[in-house]
Amino acid sequence: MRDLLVIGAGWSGLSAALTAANHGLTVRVIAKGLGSMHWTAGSFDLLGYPFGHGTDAADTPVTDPLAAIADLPAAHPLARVGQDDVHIDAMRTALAAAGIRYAGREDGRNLLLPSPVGAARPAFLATEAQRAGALDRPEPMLVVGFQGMAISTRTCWSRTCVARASAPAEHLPLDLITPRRDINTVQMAQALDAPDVQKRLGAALNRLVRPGERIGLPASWACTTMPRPLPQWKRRGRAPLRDSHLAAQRTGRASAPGAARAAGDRGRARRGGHGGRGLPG
Amino acid sequence: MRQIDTEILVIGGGSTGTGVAWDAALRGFKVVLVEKRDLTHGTTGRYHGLLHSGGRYVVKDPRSAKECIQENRILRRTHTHCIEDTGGFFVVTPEDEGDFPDMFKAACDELGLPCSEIPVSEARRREPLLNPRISRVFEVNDGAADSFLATHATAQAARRAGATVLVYHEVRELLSQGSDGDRRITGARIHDMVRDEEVIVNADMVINASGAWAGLLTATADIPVTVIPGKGTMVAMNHRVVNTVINRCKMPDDGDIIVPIHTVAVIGTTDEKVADPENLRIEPWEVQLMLDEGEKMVPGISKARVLRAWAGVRPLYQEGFTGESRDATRALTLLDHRQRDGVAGLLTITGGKWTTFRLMAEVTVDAACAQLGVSRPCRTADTRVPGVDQGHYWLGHRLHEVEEDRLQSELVCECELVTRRMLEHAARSNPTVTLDDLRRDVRLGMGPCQGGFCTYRAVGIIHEMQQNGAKSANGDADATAAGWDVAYMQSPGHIAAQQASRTGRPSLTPSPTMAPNLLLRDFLQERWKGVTPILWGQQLKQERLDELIYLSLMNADHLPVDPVTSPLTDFYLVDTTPGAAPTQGEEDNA
Repeated sequence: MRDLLVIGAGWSGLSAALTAANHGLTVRVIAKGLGSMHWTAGSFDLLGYPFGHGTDAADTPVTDPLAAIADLPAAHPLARVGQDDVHIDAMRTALAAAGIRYAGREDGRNLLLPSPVGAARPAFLATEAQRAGALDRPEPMLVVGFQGMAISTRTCWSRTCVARASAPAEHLPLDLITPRRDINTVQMAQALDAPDVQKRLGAALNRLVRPGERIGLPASWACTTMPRPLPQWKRRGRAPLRDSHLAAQRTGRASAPGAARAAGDRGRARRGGHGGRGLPG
Repeated sequence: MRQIDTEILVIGGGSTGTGVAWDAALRGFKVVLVEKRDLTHGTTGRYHGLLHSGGRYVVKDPRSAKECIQENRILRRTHTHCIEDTGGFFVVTPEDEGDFPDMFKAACDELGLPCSEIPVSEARRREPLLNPRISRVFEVNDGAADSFLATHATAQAARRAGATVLVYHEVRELLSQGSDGDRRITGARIHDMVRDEEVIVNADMVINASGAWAGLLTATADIPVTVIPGKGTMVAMNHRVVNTVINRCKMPDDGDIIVPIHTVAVIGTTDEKVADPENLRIEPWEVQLMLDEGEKMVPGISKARVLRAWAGVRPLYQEGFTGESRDATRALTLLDHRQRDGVAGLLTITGGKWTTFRLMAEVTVDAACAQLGVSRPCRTADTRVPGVDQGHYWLGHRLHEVEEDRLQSELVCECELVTRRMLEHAARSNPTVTLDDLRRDVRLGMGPCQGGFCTYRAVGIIHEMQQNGAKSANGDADATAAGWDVAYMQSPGHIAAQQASRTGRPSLTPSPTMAPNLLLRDFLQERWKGVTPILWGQQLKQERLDELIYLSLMNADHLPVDPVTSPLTDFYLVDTTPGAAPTQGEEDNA
């Protein structure tokens, strides 16, 4: 028997479990599946936009999120916590121990990071690689996409946010990385694991970039590699994880909708659940 | 201002209008067709996709039934690849017993509709999910029709025969000469929605094939035509719960049919008289009724995942009719305004079914010939549209080709198996203003995720093509002005083979209405509109995932504000204020 049972494996559940474990309690985390943490951009977002919807004010990004907590309606979760009780350091420390360094701006304001479609996305803390792409940094940025990638949105990117940041956008031929005409970001990440591919890409980037420029590359969320870290996580975090998710990721490509009607909903959810697809980014 | 002179001006780019243009062009007339949006944007693109055997109307509306029986035979020849030969059952559920089944069989025999009663066990063997309490089953030759493809193929056939087809050209008013009693329609003043310019089309004869909008159009020339707009709401289920069209064997009523079409099964329909063909609300009771009635044919269907709900408006017409739209005739109606209103040069064709569109065109062009004083026989019944050599559509054809040609890595839309090259081909070979136009071409975003994974990919591809077009002087033509090359639009393997022989990168001329942010915003909004009436269960989860992708990860609702709007931006808006009545689910045709 354990001291504490935590239900839910989102940030709240995990940080509660971590805090308790750090205080010497034995903890078990249970969750239905993996939650939706995969579907975030990987940054810590505190308060990106004011409360409300549809007005110009509500669509203007918050610059100082801690200060803006005071302006929230009393029922807002952050208002209930209060600005003095926003503790992010515990998670930062824990993630740093795992090798992922999160940081924000010195002045405590929101970062503005480029989203995959080129929108400016406010974020409070981000990883080092993400911070390098912050739109308010002075260094010019070269955005590099890969010509012919089926799921690339780099080209939209270059039209919107890069145009604002007056940065050029370039395309590299995809065969630099793979002979396949179209690949998804996951397959691309896998191809980039090979040292000779990394070398070729590095050389090509060197030819494009000018001194002092940052380089923006498509990020890949390699979820096909999840089966590797997951068992580790399972051991360390003692979080039971449904194997069906791993199976779905290995199964890969969705089949034709309708073809498996007899398989029923469970079969479909697994086969058609976009398993194996990388997130854009 | 542009001026176009023609012999026949056809107004409306649905099945009827394209059918008229095809028919008239084959008879040697100089033809211009104008459609205010994309082809099939109106009722043609918003129906359940039934190719009627005629069975539905044998008892109640024999004239319409006869038209269906004849046209079913003809369309299977002329539009083979647009039709799936599903066959159809008329089933007698415990609620449908009584005199009707015998009346139905007798009426089929009398009208010459092939219909045979088959053992319930045989029907259940073929459709295992059918209600076991069904007591009798009649088999007829219903089919499932892809009205998007059929209309596009008809337009391509019309162009081949010399017709000009102009989409995103909205008629502002009919032009006429002369005074009362001696008036003649001479053409129309038209607005090109994409280039924002006026076009005057002068014509010897104007044919009003604008369906539910017919009365609004004739009103611009002070000719009263009262169409009875009968709204039909439909619900698409995620699975092909049946592979045969299932009809209730009773008088036509709400929710009496399930049509398997492409990857889904559609339950239809309601029939509500509405005032405005444009802004259709989907009421919660309508969705509930479809599910409840569907349950009587296929128990458990209401527990399956609902993809989307939408509504279309039947352009019913019956001179002097004041009853319920359900009771108005489905037979075609041709109004010769010279006889009816003393206005020459204008014909209105309305009523009818998708199944009878070719006949509607024939009757109309016959009347046009009579007014123009020429005699030219109709040729459409013996002319096949491009692409028929592919044979009847079958559900597995895309999967087969994708696997056969190893096109897995090209998929832009996994739900509907749309490849990158299909999308490029459609954008280049077919007038395109919004991603919604491409959806009608290749079924982009019509599957379970409702655009969740394909929207940003498709936008990226279109933008890439535009960048290629901007770079190369000899890029392909302006997408909005492209002609029609749609015969193999649904065939991933054929397009892959065809494009392999092309050189150069696929390109499009950049256009402001196809700016990436606008394409993205419009299509997300369009898909959202049709899921708002059915947000529960698995589709609610799906929509939450789509929300995380577009609003959280991509922050798509805070893309730099583009002053540009497409001709459809306002149309896609939907009021989701809590407490507000559910709004129109958008068109689908499954």
